[in-house]
Amino acid sequence: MNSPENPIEYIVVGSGLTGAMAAETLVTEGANVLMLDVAYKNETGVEYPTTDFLSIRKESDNQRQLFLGDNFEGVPWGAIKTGAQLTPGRKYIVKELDKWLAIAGNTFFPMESLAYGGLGNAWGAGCYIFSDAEFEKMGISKSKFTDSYQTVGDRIGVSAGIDDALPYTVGGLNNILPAIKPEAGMLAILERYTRKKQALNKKGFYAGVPGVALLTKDKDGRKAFSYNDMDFWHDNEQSVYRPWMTVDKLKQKPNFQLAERVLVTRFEEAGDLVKVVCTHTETNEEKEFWCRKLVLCSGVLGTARIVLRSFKQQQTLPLICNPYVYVPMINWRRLGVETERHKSGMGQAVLFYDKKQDNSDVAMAAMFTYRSLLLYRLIKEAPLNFATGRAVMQYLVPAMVIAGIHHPEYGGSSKFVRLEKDTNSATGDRLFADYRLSSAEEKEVLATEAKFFQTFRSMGCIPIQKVYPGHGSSIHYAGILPFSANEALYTTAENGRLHQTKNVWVADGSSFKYVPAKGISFTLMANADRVAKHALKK
Amino acid sequence: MSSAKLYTNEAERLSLYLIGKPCNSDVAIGYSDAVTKLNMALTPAQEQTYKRMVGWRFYMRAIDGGLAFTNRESVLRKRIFVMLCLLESSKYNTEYFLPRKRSPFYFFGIGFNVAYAFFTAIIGVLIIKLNNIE
Ligand SMILES: Cc1cc2nc3c(=O)[nH]c(=O)nc-3n(C[C@H](O)[C@H](O)[C@H](O)COP(=O)(O)OP(=O)(O)OC[C@H]3O[C@@H](n4cnc5c(N)ncnc54)[C@H](O)[C@@H]3O)c2cc1C
Repeated sequence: MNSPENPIEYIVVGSGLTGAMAAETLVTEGANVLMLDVAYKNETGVEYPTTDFLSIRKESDNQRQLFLGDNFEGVPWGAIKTGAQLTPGRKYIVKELDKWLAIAGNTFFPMESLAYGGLGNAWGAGCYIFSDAEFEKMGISKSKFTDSYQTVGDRIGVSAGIDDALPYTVGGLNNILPAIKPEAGMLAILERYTRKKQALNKKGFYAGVPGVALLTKDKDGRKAFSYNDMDFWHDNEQSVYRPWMTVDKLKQKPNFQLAERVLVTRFEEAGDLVKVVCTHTETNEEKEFWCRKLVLCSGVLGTARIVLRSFKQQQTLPLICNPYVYVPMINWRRLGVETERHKSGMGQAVLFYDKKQDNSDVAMAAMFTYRSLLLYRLIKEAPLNFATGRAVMQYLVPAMVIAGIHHPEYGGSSKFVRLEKDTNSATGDRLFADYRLSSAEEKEVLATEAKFFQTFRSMGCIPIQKVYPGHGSSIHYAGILPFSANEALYTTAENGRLHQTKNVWVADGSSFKYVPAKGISFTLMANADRVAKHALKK
Repeated sequence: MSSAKLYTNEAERLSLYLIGKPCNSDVAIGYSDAVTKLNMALTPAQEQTYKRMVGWRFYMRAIDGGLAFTNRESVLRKRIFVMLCLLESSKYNTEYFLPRKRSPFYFFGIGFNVAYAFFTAIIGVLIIKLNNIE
């Protein structure tokens, strides 16, 4: 029985990408670990066939259940919001957020999760190693991450193109798997890039096939990617890395346990021990767990809530999240073409804009082709009657490319969170978030987007419109407990220890002072491994 | 008419409007199920408009297109949209949704379709404004 007399060595809060990595590092070193998480799972009971998307579409009798869900939860309505791409089988990722992770404000629309595996159940698996200059701005040296990047890369398996994009994706990583094969339309775009490469490189644009945590060869019981184009719907083959795969494996070890339906509300230090106070999400009962070291991997906003409740002195905390915009485009050479049977739903090309040509402040566009999310999502957005919308989209879809542009982001006084009382919320409080760019930042974002548009056009893609789902939609969060050399409240030491505590460690993205546009999660996982190693030290 | 029969009739007409052929019974049952589960009840005024839309394809096209500009989230449109989702998720209708090889001239057909859609939408907007359709 866990008690102050019999504490567990380590408690890890969260089973997401960071929790899974921190726990694996601790467990591998022989430490006793208890993971706490609400850990909601997919309970739809729907089993997806293992065949490809086109075969399912042409043959399956229960597509209504597969694609729309028993309660039509896959039918979208209203304006596009963060996480619009979640399919019925992945909706559990955002279950009961209003109840347990209440958030207020009308300028920031984040996506959080209380699922087994967290947001990693839906991530696009894009992997990026940040440059020295980017790390410097994040408040830490890259040398502290080199080994951890490799450890994580070897655990999850990363494939990548060996091309112009590599210095911006996972250049420097060993054991990279062969890149995924982009489909014909995307290859044509990349070929146009190659033809215009010199001019584009001069302007700071570099393109290639992305680094992805996706297996192109079998590994540890996971299958090589089959190009079935069902990536948004299921993980039957486990080719794309998801954190639950690690936690499932850890559950087989005698020195690891997972307690589910446990929402951590706060912690208190008592001598050399940490008391972790929780609420059981089914019974609403309060529960305590005792440990020697607490490792917080609850996602940046989740960690903000726990830390704010735990310290008596309240203050606003800085928040950083990449500005993000979707751009649907038409690669007109592909109009009227039948799409290939085998394709990937994941990002197939990346385009970087390295304005200063020094890999320090790079903006990025991830490019996807569209098919398996079905036509109705596109038809809904068209300014047309639905009958015409259907005919138009059926014609356009083989030529459709969606680019998601991420901008690098610094903190600022108009980007923050604080904890407020809220008697309507199950926890008695809510996080208030406010996120506004300064006019100079907005100008910079628009100027960068204009440059991307020029380059898209020269690569054969005609941008149709910009869709801004609002701040928070990049789903890359950081900054609330920045690295600091001083033992200041609401900051972390370089090794991940939360200042003003002895045994509380922060192993998610909370400490980064800057967020490069390149996806943050591979670095988050490397950080989790790094912090766990520090936490292991006596 | 019983509500089940009414919904089947509606589903048939919507299918004719959206893909030019009647739907099979599974889709019609799905439509009736969705109307209940997705809370798509209509006010008496909307009911009247909807009846007219279902009975007259040009009117449907005009109101659907007009609402795309004036009130995208209208429950009238939601009903049509749900039917579209149901039609798409049936193996019998893939030819209307999956990409198909088309001749370069198809582009002009689509261009004409879009122009006609805007024309009917303008008429739709006028009807919507005159009749306060929500
Ligand atoms: C659609 C989508 C696509 C994405 N694509 C990419 C991409 O291509 N590349 C990239 O780099 N990033 C991507 N991301 C972002 C990426 O998913 C996140 O950065 C990453 O998952 C964060 O991991 P985390 O472990 O820090 O937090 P989370 O995934 O949020 O995990 C937090 C965990 O903690 C648990 N938890 C939270 N609070 C509590 C509490 N109080 N008590 C107990 N448990 C708690 C939750 O249940 C959850 O399991 C994407 C995200 C989405 C949604």
